[in-house]
Amino acid sequence: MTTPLPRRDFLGRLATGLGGLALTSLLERETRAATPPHFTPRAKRVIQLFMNGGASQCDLFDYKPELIARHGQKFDPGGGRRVEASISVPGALLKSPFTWTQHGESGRWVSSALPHLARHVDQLAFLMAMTSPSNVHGPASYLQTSGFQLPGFPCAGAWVSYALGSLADNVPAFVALPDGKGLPYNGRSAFTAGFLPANHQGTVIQAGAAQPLSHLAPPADAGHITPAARAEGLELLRELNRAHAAARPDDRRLGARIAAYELAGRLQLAAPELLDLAGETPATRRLYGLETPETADFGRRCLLARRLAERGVRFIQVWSGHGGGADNWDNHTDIGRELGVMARRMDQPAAALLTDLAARGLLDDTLVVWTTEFGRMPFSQGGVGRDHNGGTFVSWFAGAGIRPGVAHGESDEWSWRAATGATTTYDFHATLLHLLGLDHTRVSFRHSGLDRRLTDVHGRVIREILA
Amino acid sequence: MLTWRSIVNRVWAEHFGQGLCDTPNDFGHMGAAPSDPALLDWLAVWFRDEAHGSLKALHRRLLTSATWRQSSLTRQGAETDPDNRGLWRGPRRRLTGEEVRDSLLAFADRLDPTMGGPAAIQFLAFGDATFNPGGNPARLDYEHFDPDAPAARRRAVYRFQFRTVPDPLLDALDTPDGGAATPVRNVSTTAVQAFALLNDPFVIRHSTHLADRVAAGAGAEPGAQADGLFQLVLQRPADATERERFGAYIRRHGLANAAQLLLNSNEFLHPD
Repeated sequence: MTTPLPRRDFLGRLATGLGGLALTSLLERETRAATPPHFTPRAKRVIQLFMNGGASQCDLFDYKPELIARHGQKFDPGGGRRVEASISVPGALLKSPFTWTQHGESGRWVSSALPHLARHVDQLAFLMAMTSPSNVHGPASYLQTSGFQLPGFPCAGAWVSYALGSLADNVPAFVALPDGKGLPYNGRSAFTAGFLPANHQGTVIQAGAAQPLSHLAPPADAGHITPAARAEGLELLRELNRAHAAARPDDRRLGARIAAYELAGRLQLAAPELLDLAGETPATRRLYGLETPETADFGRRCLLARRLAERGVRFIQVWSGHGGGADNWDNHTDIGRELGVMARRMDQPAAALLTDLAARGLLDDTLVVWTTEFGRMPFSQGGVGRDHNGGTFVSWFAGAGIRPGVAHGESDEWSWRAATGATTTYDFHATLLHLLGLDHTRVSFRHSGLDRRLTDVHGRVIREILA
Repeated sequence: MLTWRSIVNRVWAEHFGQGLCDTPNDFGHMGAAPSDPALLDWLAVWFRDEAHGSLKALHRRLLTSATWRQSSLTRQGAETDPDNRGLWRGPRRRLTGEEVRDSLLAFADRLDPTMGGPAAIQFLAFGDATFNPGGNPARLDYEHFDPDAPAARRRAVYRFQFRTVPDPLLDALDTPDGGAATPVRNVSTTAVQAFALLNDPFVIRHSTHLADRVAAGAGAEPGAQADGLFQLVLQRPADATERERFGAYIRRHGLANAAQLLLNSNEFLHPD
């Protein structure tokens, strides 16, 4: 603090006067990024429900009479095409253990595994023939989260944060809500900002944990950090940092750091209210299944997603399933049992989120997307399980800018490969950015000599599902 | 010649915060043009022919240069070259996550300088500790790992780097997760970073150790304690106002809280 300015004078001007306020708000805007969108956005924010493990399209949404008719037969797609599975020897064709019925005016087929979501089919736009070049969890999940099969690339939420920033000054732009049982396959890399500045990385909220936001408060054994010590300390720190910055006016990072402490202060104040679900009505809590052990974890996080959406978060990711050997959508052993459990945990809360967002008018400017990293095989693994299948799987969009009740693409007669309207992750991401008012070819960041994009050099906006 | 240019540029970037060429992994036509091509060439030839590839000689050459030893406080180029590409002033880097962690240990006089050996595991691991991808996945807990454990005292460069679950303190300070080559690190400024330096158990514990060390040397008088603290963390004595303000703060809230404030200061994280 060997400053050329008399310290008291400068503090008087900056820290307490109007000049200080103006400086602070200027710096805040700087740290919040935010460029105007390329065209009028249909959606202000995104909630992504991510089924970790490879949710079986042919047991949830992709109804194939042929699979039922040929149940138990050896699978021969004809034309000399070779049938391979990811980690197992292909078994006989396996019909779903669930029953199928048509729903809504659109007449979508949904299996009995998803009775709640079945009531919402007229609100959804289905991508019935998503494909993935990988049927290995790590690379396929990276592709779905970041557009690349390798680690190190920014996730979609980080790109949205980089392009648009947050909608409020006391919440982060990108929040990830991992499953209560653990992180997805790629760990925290599933929420990474990659080569984008670290402020765009997903802020992880462990909804069920004693301390949902890491580092939000000092550890319990740090008794010397009393509220008064902290408050007076932050004030003293601000003085010290401002005097230091005043002597180095050409270095903008110093002011940005002062502002970051102020944003942290606002976040800390906002967090308890944000995370507290006690104020929700009993009816809402029941709607999301908070009172039932099976649905409580995913339900709590769907409800939290709605609260985050209301408070200005741009991109919220809710994970169903973790990266372990069970408790996810990687149902190799017994579809009826393993997938049944996951479907019951996810179905009611996801449907509740759609109902609740619609009731509050939020679905008009919120995009909800349901995704997974790949699908599963129409033939069995070890009798009643299914192996990975990058050939075809299902995702859906709902809400802002979506044409409700439509389906784009179709798989072959067994739900083995995409047949028509095959859709890539690049197309999926291009559409997501489009709905946010962003041209996916123009959201770029120069890294290692390349203007990198979420969609690499690919991507087509799927106009067939747009309103 | 590419090899020699490439390595001198990397070493330069480590010391000056940015390379003569901004894209250390790409000297081709997709890369950025160097700010001073003649200097890059001269240094590369010097390194090859006169230093005979000795990195130690290269470090010495750079660190004893008039350019590196410039004050970072001069102002005369601020208008024409705000990014300091022409190095009109000395570099002012943000310390890396690893440097912050190692500094905390050094301030507390607890840094284990051992070189090499098996990686130091600085987290609690549950489940399959072999981290075999086929096994029951390990659950990692950084939060409850004892900051005083012997493994915690090793330098960050020797830590076991679990790529998909990075250390939250280092992660907040832009240490890459090791998943991909990172020729140039981000230097971001975030609220998450503020939370980490204010509330991370490692930072708090080492603030306490630092306070104990200062108290042992400076005695019980708060003004003298403030001086000792500034000297150790910021490498300078406190000025009169600081001695008074920090002395009063120490009197009210103790030396450990004051120590942590300095560890959160811009002056510590962005040394001149």
